[in-house]
Formats: sequence, structure tokens, C-alpha cells
Amino acid sequence: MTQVIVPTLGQTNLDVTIEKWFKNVGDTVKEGEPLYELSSEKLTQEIEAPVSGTLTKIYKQVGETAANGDLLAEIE
Amino acid sequence: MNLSNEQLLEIYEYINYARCMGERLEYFIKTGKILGAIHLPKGQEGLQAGLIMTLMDARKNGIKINTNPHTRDQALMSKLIGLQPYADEMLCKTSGINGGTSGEYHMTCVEKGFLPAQGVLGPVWGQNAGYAWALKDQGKTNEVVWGIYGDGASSRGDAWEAMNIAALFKVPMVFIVVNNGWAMANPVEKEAPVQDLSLRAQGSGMRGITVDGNDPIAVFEAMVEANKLAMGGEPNLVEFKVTRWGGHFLGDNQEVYRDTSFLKHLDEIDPVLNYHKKLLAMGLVKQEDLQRVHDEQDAIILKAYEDGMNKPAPTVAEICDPNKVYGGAY
Amino acid sequence: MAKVSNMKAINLACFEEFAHDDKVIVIGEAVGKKGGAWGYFTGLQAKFGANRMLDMPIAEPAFCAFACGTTLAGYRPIVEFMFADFVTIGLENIMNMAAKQRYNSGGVNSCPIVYLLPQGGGASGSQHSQSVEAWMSNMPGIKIVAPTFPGDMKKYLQASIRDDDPVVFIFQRAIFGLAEEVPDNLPVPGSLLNASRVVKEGKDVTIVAYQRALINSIQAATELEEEGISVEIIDPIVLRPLDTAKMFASVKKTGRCLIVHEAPKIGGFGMQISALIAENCLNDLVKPIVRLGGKEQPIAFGKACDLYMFPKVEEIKDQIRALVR
Repeated sequence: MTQVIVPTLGQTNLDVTIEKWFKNVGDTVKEGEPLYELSSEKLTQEIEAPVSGTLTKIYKQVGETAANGDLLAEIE
Repeated sequence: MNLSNEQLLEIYEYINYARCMGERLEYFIKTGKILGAIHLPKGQEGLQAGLIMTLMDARKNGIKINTNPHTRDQALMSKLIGLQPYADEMLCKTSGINGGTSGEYHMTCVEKGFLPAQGVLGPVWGQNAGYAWALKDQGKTNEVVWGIYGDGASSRGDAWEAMNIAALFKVPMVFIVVNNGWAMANPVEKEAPVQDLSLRAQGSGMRGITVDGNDPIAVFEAMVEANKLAMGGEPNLVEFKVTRWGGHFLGDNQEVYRDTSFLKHLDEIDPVLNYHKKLLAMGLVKQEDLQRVHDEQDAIILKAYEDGMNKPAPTVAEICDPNKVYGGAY
Repeated sequence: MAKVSNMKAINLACFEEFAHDDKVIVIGEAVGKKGGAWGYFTGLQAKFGANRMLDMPIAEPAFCAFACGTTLAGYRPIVEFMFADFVTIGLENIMNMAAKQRYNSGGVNSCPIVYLLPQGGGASGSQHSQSVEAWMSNMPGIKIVAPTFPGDMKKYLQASIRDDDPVVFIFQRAIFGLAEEVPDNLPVPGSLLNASRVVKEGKDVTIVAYQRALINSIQAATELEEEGISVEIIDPIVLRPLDTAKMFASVKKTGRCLIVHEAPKIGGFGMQISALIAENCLNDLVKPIVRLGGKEQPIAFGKACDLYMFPKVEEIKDQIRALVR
């Protein structure tokens, strides 16, 4: 099982907001495909799936805030 | 310069290594394994491969290269001191080249030719000119110093001052300007009133040339010549023009300040692909070699970083060791 | 033994250190044939050669960085700034490069640079008369030395050159000519620790002061002997690392403390001394600590500079009297 962790982008540890999920729980994901989009005060960034598999859990929904290092999702 | 097939294939390995370095760093940042603020090298692999080739060739000829990174030089610097100590330092582990408290921005190992990296733009050219002066004063005629700056950093007053001083003292130094068209979010047209930054060398009476940084062979040839001139008492400048693919760092939304339509035609400008096609046409590689060599290089980088991630971080005592702050009694 | 001025003391120290270690060099403007704008390098080039006296163009940022570069190859540069006020131009490579050179290397690289800064008033106005010791005091990795008397000037410049860390060595132009008997073979201290000394013994009030403020304090104290007031005066000599033993012992004895310097009080180095005395000698103090400093304004040009900008003997006497009342 692979954990999807909230990254630290740029030089500040700002909390991020989840803007979009490109996949739903139960969907097949492919490594390198866009998985979700996050935003913070300074940036918006699309993040790809780190591995291929099935997206089994999503812990933060669209509009929710997350801190760097938080667990966001799981892929089996 | 007539490169042998071995040399051409060596460059092929390096250009893939540089590509994989950028891809893996991006992967590690996006998966939360490495903190952000890494300036990714994607798009500039031709330059990295040419500089690495110059380094390796110099070593074969008993020449020591002394340099430090600007940004996007992870591939070169990891070849200079070894991938594992480089990765470990980037990951802030005790086994890193500086004990884990310098990170990517402040690495150094003078013994191996890694002069102190500086997080502030401006001082490096002056620092390196001082080291080059010392080499000359000590009669070390088989050593040369490179100072690498971007199109933005070369605007700094210290940068001009350093060229001036290096030229006056005739130190064995090559000033390298990596012009990727962007000083963070400032296009080079708003950073400099001239198109070719190599013109700046003229103000200090030094030779300055502009080279296509996407062609690793051109880079290698230019640097071999530049080294020879510098070691002969003629510091000089080489400007390499390259294209930065991503934003300034991962997370920098360059769409707001840059026309990113070029991203739709990357295959046309991709230095790795273009070099592959060149070797393909020469019959030196087969089509499938690109993926194979890519994967081989990726495995090496992946292993180094994954091993590094499992290593210990420095303790509080190691981070706050007063012997690291003061050498004299305090 | 000979009578040596502060200016001569600097020159003698350079000669001895140049002979002691051939890696000692000077980097600055007009340091070679001219011997530096103030002349304290006179004779060095003739004796030791031009390759050890690097005449730089007017480029303080780059030549400070250059100095760091030479230390990576084992050299021990003395970097001269013509006026202490200009240290701001080189500050980046003192604060961000030299101060961190050792730490960023994990303790491997040393940075044995001495920055010579002639400071203080001398009728030259707002940009050529400032006292700068506090500007760099808030920087771990940097040492600060600020002698007043020629004997200390000589031996502590030598100790600074032999120290493996970046040392900001500050001295006052106004007392370049101050002279005293200095023994020929004055031993060089093994470190910059424990440097302070009691310049005058007394029992009623402790003064901690340096440079011209110290000279004025000594005069004030001498004159007040007629009024039956006994003042003890401590010269710290090294500001960072600050030797507090003698000043604490003195305050424990007198219970009254006056700190005098020519830099303005707000953010001045007196704040650091004051805080340390308050933290360590609170129960011994019978009066609050007093600080005297230069005027809180840019320094006026010309005679006004010295007449009005810095603490005078009368002002110091008034403060001492107020402390003993």
C-alpha cells in the first residue's frame, strides 16, 4: 500500500487546500497521471499518482485544508 | 574535436542521468519525501551532460576541476563528490557530505573540488576567484576553477566585480553563465539590455563566447578550450543558452508570467531526445537503448535516495556542535 | 621597549605576523606601495613582496568573497576597509559567507579572516564617522575585537590573525596617535578569551568603556578623585566573546555601573553588557545600570562632529556623581 503525502512545495511550509480530485475512491490510477490539485497562498500545483494501483482511501476532500506531511490518500 | 564512440556513449549515459535526476527529484518532492524549493534541472540536461563529460575527461588528464553549483546542477555536483554523500546531504542525513546541516544550498567539500555553495546570489564568483588566485599563487597549474551563474545572478554587482578582479589577477577561472531565459519570474530581456550575456566579459577584457547549451558535445568542446585558456592565465567566460522547462522551483506557477505553449512541443527541443536521435543516426544506439539507459540511470538514483531516506538524521548535539561554529577558542 | 602609537602597533603586529606565517596576506585598496590609506601597512610590500599585498579595485563585496576563497586554500587574509562605515558594502560576505563558512562545511573549513575597520568620529560626518561594533555583534560565527591602547592593539591584532575564525577588528581613528610604552617581545595571547583588563582600580563605581569613551572615562575618573569618588574602569578589549569575569567582580564590589561608548545607545553594544550585568549581578546593584552613548542621529560634519556627537568628560562625570549620590 502506498501513502499519498502532502508535499512541501517552494520554501515555506504553508498549509494547502485540496482544489480537485481527478480520481474517485475505487478508480484505477496510473503512475504519472494527475491525481489531485492543491493550492496555497502562493501557488497551485497538480500532483501525479506516485504509483499505479487502485485509489482506496481519500482522507481530505475538496475544499479541506492539509498541512505538509499529512496523509492524503492510499493506493493499493 | 573528434569524439570517439566511447566518449559519445559516455555522454549518452550522462544526459540520461541528468534527465533521471530531475524526474526523480520531482517525484520525491511531489510524494512528500523531500522538502520543496529544489530548482529542478529539467530541460537543461544537455548542459549537465557536457559539464559532467568535461569533469570526467579532466580527471583522466590529471586536471582538478573546482566548482560549486548554481541552481539545477544536481547532476554535475553529485558526480563531483559521489551520488550517495550528495543525496544524503540533500536529505539532511548525518552521512551527508556536510553532516546533514547544510542541505542542497550550502554543500561543500574543498578536498574533492566542491567549493562552498552559497545560498545568496553574488558571492560565488568572488569566492571562486579568490580560490583560483590561491591556486595560481601556489603554482597548482593542473587545477582550474569554474564559477556557474544564471542569467539573473550575473546581474549582481559582485558578479561584475569578480570578473574584474579575476581578469586583473589573471586567475585560472572560467565564468559560466547558464542563460535559460528566466531569472525566476523575470525574463532575461528585463534582466539585461544585451541579448548575449557573454558580451559582459568584454568589459573586463576577457574572452566571452555564447554556446548552445542543449548540445552536450558543443558544451564539452567549449569547456575543454575554456579550461585550457584559464589554466594558461586567461580567465574567460562561456555563456550556455538552454531552456528551463519548469517554474523556478517546483510549485512556482510559471503560467502567470510565462508563455508556456512551448510545453506542447517538448519533443522538438528535448536535449535528451535530440542527442539520442543523433546517436541513432550514427548507428551507435538502437531505439530501445533510450528507455534502457534511462531506466538504468534511474535505478541508480532511486536506490541512492531511498537508501539515504533510511539513514539517521543528525542529533541535536551534532546540529548544535560548537566546534562546527568556531575553530578558534570561544 | 619603545613608545608605540596605535597606528604603529598595527604596523608592528602585521610585520610580526607576516614573518610568523607566510600565508598571511593583506587584501584591500591601495595597500601595496601606499601601505593603505592610513599607512599602517607601510613597508610590508617592500619586505615581503607584492604577492602578499593584494591591491584591489573598489569592489568590497567581491574582495570580501575573494578573501573567503583564499581561506579555503589555507591563506589568512587581513581585509582592510578604508572606513568602518563602508563595512556595510562588504557585510553580505562577512555575515552570510564568512560567518557560516565553518558551519556549512560541517566544521571542516575554517575562515581565518581579520577585517580591519577604522571607525569613529573625526570631523568627517555622517558616512565616515560611525561606530560599527554593534552592527555585526548579533551574528554567531563572528568575533569582535575593539582595543583602545597600543599594547592591546598589537597583541590582540596578532591573536586575531592567529585565530581560525573571522574577526572584525575595530579601532578608532581619533586615537591613532595614542602612544604608550610597549615591550619589544610582547607575548601574543593564545586566544581571544579572557581578554578584559582593569585599567583603573576603584571602589565606588564600575565603568565599562572602550576606545575614546574609555579615554574620556579615565580622565573623568581621575578628575573626580578630587571629589573623593573612586572609580574602577574595565576595558573589555574583546567584545565577542565578551570576558565578563572582571566586570562582574567589579560590579559586585561597587554596586554601581556605567557603560560608555560612542555609538548610539539604542541597539548599541552597551545593551549586551548591561543585560549580562543585570542577569548576573542584580543582587549587588544598588542603582540601575546607566549607559551613555552617542547622539541618536546621523553625525554632523566638521567640528560639530566631535564637539557634540559623543559623550564628553563632563557628561561622564555627571553620571558618576549621580550614581554615588
